[in-house]
Amino acid sequence: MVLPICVMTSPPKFTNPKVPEGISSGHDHPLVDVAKSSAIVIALVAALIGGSFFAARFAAPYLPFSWEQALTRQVAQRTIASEAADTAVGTYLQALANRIAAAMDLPDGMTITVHFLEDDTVNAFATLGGHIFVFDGLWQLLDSENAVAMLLGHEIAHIKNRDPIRSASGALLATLTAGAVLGDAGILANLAGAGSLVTVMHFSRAQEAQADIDASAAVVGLYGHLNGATDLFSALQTAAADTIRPPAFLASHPNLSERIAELERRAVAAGWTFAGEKTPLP
Amino acid sequence: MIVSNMEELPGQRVVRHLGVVQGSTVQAKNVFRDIGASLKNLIGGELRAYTDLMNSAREEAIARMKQEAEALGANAILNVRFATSTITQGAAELLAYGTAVIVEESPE
Amino acid sequence: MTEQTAALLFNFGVPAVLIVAGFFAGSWNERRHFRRIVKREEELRAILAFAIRRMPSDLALSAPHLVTGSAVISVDYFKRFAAGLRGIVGGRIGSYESLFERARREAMIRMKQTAQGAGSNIVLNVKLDTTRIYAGSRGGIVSVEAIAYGTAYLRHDEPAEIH
Repeated sequence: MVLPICVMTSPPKFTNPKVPEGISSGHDHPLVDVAKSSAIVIALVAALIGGSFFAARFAAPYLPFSWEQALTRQVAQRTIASEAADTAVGTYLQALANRIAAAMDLPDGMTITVHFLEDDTVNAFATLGGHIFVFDGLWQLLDSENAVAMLLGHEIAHIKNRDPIRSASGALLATLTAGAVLGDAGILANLAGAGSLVTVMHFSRAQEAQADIDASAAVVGLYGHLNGATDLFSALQTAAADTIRPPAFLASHPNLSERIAELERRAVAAGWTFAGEKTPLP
Repeated sequence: MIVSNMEELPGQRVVRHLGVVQGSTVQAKNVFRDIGASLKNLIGGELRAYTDLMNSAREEAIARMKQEAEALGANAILNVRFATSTITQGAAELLAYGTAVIVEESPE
Repeated sequence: MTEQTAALLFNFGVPAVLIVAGFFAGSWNERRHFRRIVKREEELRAILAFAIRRMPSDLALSAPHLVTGSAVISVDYFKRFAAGLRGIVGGRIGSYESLFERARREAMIRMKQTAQGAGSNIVLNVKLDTTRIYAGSRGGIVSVEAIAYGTAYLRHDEPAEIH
């Protein structure tokens, strides 16, 4: 057997082979990378803002009511100054509110101030510091004291449950967090939350339902029955048919028929009766 | 793959030099580590989170350097060095480089 | 309201335009630079570079001299945006990795060019380093400098081979 003789030329000892591309860079497409990290950042910011919103709503009821009063004192004084001279209606509403408040067993130091505004707007709302605003437009729709008591009871219940301060602090802290985290972008949040402090508050469906129940209990306590109380809702429903000028109240209190049904269920469960004499308005 | 910052390996002989290989990575720390670190800055001590971060980044750089060396058919990297550079606040580049070689058992 | 809209436009619109422009211009620039790097690396394959410190006894070398090469590469607006996001969530900043690679390979090429210009054909004890160069205060333009240096020799024993 003859072995082939091969002349081995040893490879050069010093060489620089070509290094492949894409080892230390070029792993992710830049746009994919940006998409990934922005998704995480957006989720983080949303969690922070949402977290501060719900934390504020949770903690707000523990703030003393006197802070709310101090906060709204100036605003209240200005509003009162611009109100029409203390009308007979205003005095009546305040007296009725005081009776209902007594029946609802408010915590110490919590005061209710009713403001009657001679304005066609069909609306009423409760806000910070125990202030309740009732517009003439809504007042004209109510034809019995029971309906008015239901309305006032509903708004007083909001104040008792600290709903205004919860909404306000939730919105305020979320805005502050957005401002702190996003800087200039916080302007966006400011635009969205502007003016929500002392004007109309938006309460959750659960808050509205609770206010309805508390108000009904107070009305039953005062008059012994719920007859006329739901007139508030039916009056609003009738007014809602007015497509030219639907009541502003409905904007913040949707799902009226649902609420009437819920109230009737609760009335049956609590043994409240709908039979009784309506108390006329003075 | 032998990685060493020596010029020679005991009992081994360099039969081929294949040139400079390198691996690098740019690493960012995240805001949560920042918060922890700024707290630690008050009392001093080791910033464990940053140490871990830099170590894992350095390992990544070494892994990439090895990848280059493997692609050249090397079985060792000699005279390995590290360099670190900050690019912005909170981001650092880790570089590892050395010479890719082929070594074999030396009879001596 | 109009003032706020204008402020919003200014605060978000201007950076958005810069980021998009930075992405297109920056990626075009980067692709072009990488092509030029690969081309010149091929051209300089005859100049060998090694990161070994001791002069090998089996090489016939002469005329040692120090050669350096450096390059400063700037970040673009998109890379900065991507890195800013990464600065919040952590992790590897891919957009800066390519920046460093470009700077370092460019520096190596320039080092080899210097060696070639001086009649050398091999560079030993190559060292690499990178520094950032910060123009302006916070949020200023960031750029990285890479430097490559080593000792260039003329090798007599065998011609450099390309593999």
